[in-house]
Amino acid sequence: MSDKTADIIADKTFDPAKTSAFLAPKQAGSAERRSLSGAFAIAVLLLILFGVCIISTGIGAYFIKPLQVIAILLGQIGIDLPVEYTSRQETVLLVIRLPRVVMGVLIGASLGISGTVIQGVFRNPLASPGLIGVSSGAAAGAAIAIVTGINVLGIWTLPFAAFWGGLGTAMVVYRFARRGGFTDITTLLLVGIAVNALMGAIVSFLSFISDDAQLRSIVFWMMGSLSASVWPFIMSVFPFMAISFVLILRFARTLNLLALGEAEARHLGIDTERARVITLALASIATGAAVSVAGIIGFVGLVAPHLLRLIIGPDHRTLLPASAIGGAILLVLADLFARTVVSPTQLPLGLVTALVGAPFFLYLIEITRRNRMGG
Amino acid sequence: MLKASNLSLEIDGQTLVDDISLEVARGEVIALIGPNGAGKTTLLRLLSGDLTPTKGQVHLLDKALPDYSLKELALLRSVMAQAAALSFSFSSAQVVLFGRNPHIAKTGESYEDHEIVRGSLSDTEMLDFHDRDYLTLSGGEKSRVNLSRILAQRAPLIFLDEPTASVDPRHQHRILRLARGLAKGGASVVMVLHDLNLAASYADRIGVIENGGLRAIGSPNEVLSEALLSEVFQIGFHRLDVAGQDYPLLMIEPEETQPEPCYSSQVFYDKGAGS
Repeated sequence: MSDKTADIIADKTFDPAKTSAFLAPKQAGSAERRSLSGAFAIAVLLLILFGVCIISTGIGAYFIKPLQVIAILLGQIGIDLPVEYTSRQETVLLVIRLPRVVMGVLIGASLGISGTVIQGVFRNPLASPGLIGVSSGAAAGAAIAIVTGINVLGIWTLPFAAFWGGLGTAMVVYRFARRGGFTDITTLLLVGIAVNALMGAIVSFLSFISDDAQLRSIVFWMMGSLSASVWPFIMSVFPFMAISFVLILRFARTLNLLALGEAEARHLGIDTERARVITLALASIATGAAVSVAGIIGFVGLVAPHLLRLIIGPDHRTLLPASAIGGAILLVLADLFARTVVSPTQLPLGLVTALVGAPFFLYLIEITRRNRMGG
Repeated sequence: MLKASNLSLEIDGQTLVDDISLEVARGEVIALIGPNGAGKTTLLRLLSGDLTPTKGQVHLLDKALPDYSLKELALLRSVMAQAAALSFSFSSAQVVLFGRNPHIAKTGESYEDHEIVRGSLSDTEMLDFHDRDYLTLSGGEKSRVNLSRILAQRAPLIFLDEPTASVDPRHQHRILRLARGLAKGGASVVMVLHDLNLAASYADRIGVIENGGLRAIGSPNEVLSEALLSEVFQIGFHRLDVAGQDYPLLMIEPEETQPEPCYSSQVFYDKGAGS
């Protein structure tokens, strides 16, 4: 045996430094490090989100400097900064820009956190909120509202139809997949595909019988947009989203355990069926609320969890809040791009997220594959 | 500790488990052996509460199994299933920490939980792998991490389904010695094993499962007779009794005839390829 081989063997069998570091009480091990680095990651993400919001609020046909944005916002709560701004800037910011950015944050966060929940429940990093029919159902609901011209609820008609279309469809998918008190994930996936196809057919049919103006509305709705961002809409979706967020966060540890598998999670005391029903319902509500006011915005719910899992790891206790913040950042940036790149007109937001999201997602897949191969 | 009476399980008119009664005492290691598809895993799943029997019932301590909540059960029994597939890249230490779930309060895990995770990982000699992505571990290493997770759960009743599958000889023995150690501390262990010699040397009692029924149960010495094994496993066994050892050593007597595979590579070489 050569000296070199002996060295390698000696090295492999025992690494005192490494072992004692793990055992040393002061360096309390991976999970303490996790919570610290987790909190750090959340803080950094919040900081980025704050910066993105301030900058994005200022950019547009009428430019407002970041410092002016901060001054105007603080001015609203009675704190005066020594920064000058015009009353026109104040109006533009408060009436046009701010609601749009706030809406972007809420919708991005909803899509991000729902994506994480659905990937966790399906135990598949490629799942997205669209799988259980929320998006296609909402599209069908919206198309019905547009083509029939029903207008019982005024400006609320379309969001209402979309929200219940989405939630109703998700419920139908779930009912079909459930048998004897248990839900088989593969069946759920297949039922989701079938129901998505059915909803797609309904939208196609309605598009076929619609007149030109209606067709245009349907197409625009399907491509997603934040142009309907007004405070009343924000106020109406906020409770749905906030309640979903808070309740979803309580299931973080349960989602972790689900990663072990159905039976294993049950052995560890988790009522998997109950957890699944509740978390899927919450994710559907959050997604449904988002889609109802903004139309279909793809890829955020897929990319945000995937990206953040790569950066901060799979622990849902940090991943859930992180993917909400990450989703918000992505959506605010996408909307900034959508409304400035071909100014004065706007690109549909869903088009931007897909255009940027799809290549980016390919890149993420490539990274993941390389990491796997590298061990 | 555990008492199963007249357990039967019928699914779609097929009897998977047929009238099995079994008692597991405190501090006892029971090995279940039998050919593929005999119903060993199904029996384990009935005993652990995964499946509900169509007839008969299982009592854990003084209560019937269905009367326990999932949380109560998680504190009383742990189960190591055959293949645990993880869907995301958690580290080994995180996977073992999952085993602490029944003990962890809403506020999160404590320092003690981490101590237990460390102890459980070093029991299976996986401590050096604590930070490794579970998904990149080999099959045997995954089994050892999962066993660590079971150890971290600290339940007094432990079910192990083929804990030694794809594990190297050193760690097979380590795992079974751990099982013995747990039994010495008062735990009851019920495990499915395929290696009859491992079962003989580490189990207090061996149950032989055949066609869904319990063919025999008793000490290795009683149960592992040449006649019974040859009949159940359909292959000849030779039994050696070793002096000073209260369990036999078993050797398989290969069948006389050499099986003829459905194809022969000779065809490949006959064509002149590869020469």
